Amino acid sequence: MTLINQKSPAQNIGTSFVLLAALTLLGAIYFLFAYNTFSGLWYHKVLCVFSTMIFVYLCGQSYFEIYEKRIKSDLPNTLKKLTHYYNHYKGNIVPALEDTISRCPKSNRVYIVKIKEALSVPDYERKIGELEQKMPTIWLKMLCRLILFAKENGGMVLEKDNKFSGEDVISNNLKRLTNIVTFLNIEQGYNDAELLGMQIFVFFAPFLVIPVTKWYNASLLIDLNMSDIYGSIQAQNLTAILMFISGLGALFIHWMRKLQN
Amino acid sequence: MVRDIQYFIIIQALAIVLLAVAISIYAYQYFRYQKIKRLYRADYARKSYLISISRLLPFMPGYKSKRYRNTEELITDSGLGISVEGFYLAKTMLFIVGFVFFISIQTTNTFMLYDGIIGDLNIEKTLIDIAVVPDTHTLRLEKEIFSYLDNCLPGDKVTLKELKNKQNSQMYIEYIEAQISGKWAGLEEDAGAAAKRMYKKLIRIRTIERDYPIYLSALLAALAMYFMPNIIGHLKLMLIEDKRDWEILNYIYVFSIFGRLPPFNIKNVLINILVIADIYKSILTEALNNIKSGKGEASFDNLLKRVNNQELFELLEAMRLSMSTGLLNIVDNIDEMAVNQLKWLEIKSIKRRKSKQVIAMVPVVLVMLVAMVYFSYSLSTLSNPMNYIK
Repeated sequence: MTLINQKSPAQNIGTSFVLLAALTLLGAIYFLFAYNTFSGLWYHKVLCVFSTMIFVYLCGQSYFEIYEKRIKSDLPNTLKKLTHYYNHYKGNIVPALEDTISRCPKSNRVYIVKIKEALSVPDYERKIGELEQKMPTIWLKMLCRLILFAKENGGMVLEKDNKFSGEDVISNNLKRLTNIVTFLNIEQGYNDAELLGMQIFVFFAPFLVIPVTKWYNASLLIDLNMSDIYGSIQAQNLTAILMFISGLGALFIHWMRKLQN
Repeated sequence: MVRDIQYFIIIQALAIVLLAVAISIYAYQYFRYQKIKRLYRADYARKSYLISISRLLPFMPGYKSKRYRNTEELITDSGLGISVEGFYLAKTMLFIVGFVFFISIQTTNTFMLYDGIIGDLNIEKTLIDIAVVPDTHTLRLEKEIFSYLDNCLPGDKVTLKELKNKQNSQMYIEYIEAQISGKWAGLEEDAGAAAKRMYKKLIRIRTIERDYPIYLSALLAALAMYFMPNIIGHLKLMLIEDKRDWEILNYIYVFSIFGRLPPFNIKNVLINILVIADIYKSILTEALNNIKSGKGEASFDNLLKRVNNQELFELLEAMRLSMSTGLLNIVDNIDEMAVNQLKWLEIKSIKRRKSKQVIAMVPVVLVMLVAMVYFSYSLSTLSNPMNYIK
C-alpha cells in the first residue's frame, strides 16, 4: 500500500483498515458459503478454512494487482509527456516535471509529485535515493536515477562519440525508457491475459457449479423425495474435492502469472 | 467389534505418534536455536539449527554428495531461496503432516461407513419397499444384534470368502435367524428378514475390515506431498525462463541508458543494473566486486564460464570488451542488441505462451472433470432410482 500510494504507514491506517474489513467480510461470506455446503465432517471444516484463506489471499492480491497494472499501463504515457516537456523546456527538469504533473495520468501523478518534491530540497541526492527504494516498479526507480542525473548536470546534455552525437542524452534515454516499458506492457499483457482468464474460471467454477447443480437436480428429484441427495458423504467429498482443486488451481495459476513477469 | 477394527486405530495412533515426535524434535531444536542465537549471530544459529535437524532426516543426502549438489543446483537455479537442509526439512514435514492428515481422513471415512452400515435398517431396500424410520430403541437393538452375531461368526473362523460364497449364504442366514429367534424371541420384526439384513451387513463390514489397500492411498498422497518441493522447483525452473529473458532485456536497456551517461564506465552501469537485478544478482554483484578490486577484464573471465544463458553471456562479453575499447564505442552495439533481443523475445513468448497454457490447463481440466462428476452424481441416481435407499 505504501509503495502504491506513496503515503506513510500512519497515513495508510484508514485505507488498510477498510481493505482489511472488506477482505474479512468477503472471507466471511465465502466461509459461510463453503460451511453451508458441508454437513460437518472435521476435514470438510479444515477445507473450509483452507479455501477461505486462499480466497482472501487472492482477493487481496487482485486488489494490489489492479493498482499495479494501472500504474504500469499509464507509465509510457507519463514518460512520453515528461520527454515532451523536457524538450520543450530545453532540458530544464523542474518545470518539465511541473507540467508533467498536470498532464500525466492520475495513477502516476503521485510519483512525479514525489520526485519533484525530492528535487526541491537541498539534500536532493539523498532524498531521491530514499524515494527510489519506495518506488513500486523498477522503471520508476530508473526514472528517479535519470532525473537525478538531469538535475545534477542541468540543461541539455549532448551525446558524444556515437551515432546519436549532438542529441540530448536525457531525452534519448527517456525515449528508450518509454519504448521498453511499452514493449513490456504489451508482451507481458499478452502472456497474462489468457492465464488470468483461466484463473478466474478455475476460481469461480465451484460458485457456479455447486448452487446451480444443487438447485437444478433438487428440482428434478424433489418429487421422488430425494432432494437432499447432495447431503450424502460421497457427494460431500465430491464438493470438498471440487473446492480444494479450485482453490489450489487458482493459486497455482496466480503463481504462474506472478513468476513469468 | 473393536477387536476387528483395531488396525484402523493402530494406524491412526502411529500417524499421530509420528507427528508428535516430529513436533517435539522441531520444538527442541527451535529452543536450542533460540539459545544459540542469544550467544552467537542469528545466521550462525540458524545454520547450526538446520544442520542439527537435518541429521535426523531419513533421506537427507550426505554433504556434497551427488544428490546434495543436484538439490543445491535446483534450489539456486529456481530461486527457491532455501538451504538444502531446509529443503529436506520442508519435504519431511510435508510428508508427516500429509500422512497424518490423509490417514485421519481415511479413518474418519471408515468409521462413518462402519456406523452407517451397522445402523442402516433399510440396507439394500429400494424405493418400492417400505422404508423403516429408525428410532433410538430400534437402532440400539440393531447394533446389539449385530454385535452378538459378529461374535458368533468371528472373522478368524468364518472367512469373508466363505461368508460371500452363494452356496453357503442360505446356511448362514438360517443360522443367524436361529440365533435371533433364540435370543430375541419377542422381536417385532420377522426374524428371517432381520437375518437377511444382518447377513448383508456382516459381509459389508468384513469387506471394510479387509480393505487394507485403502490406507495405501494415504501413503501415496503423503509421498506426493514429499516430492512437492521438487515439483515446485522444477516447475519454477521452467516458468522462470520468461522472467530470465525479461530481466536480461532490462539489463540491456539499463546498459544502453546509463552507458551514455558520465562517468562513462562499466562500474556505473553495473551499479544501475543491480538496482533491477533479481535472478542474476549474485553474478552481477560478483562482477562489480571484481571490478572494484581492480581485476580489469579478468573480472568477467570466470563468470563467463559459469553463465549458460546466451544473451547474458553476450552482455557480459560486451561489458568486458568495453573495459579495453571504452564504453562509448560499445554502447551503440548494445542498442542493436536490445532491438534483436526484443524481436527474439516476441518469438520466444509466442512459443512459451502455448506451453504455459498447457500447464495451466491441468487445473482447468481437473475442475471441469470434478464439476461434471458432481453434476452427474444425482443424475446417475435419477437414471436408476431403485438404487437410492432412504
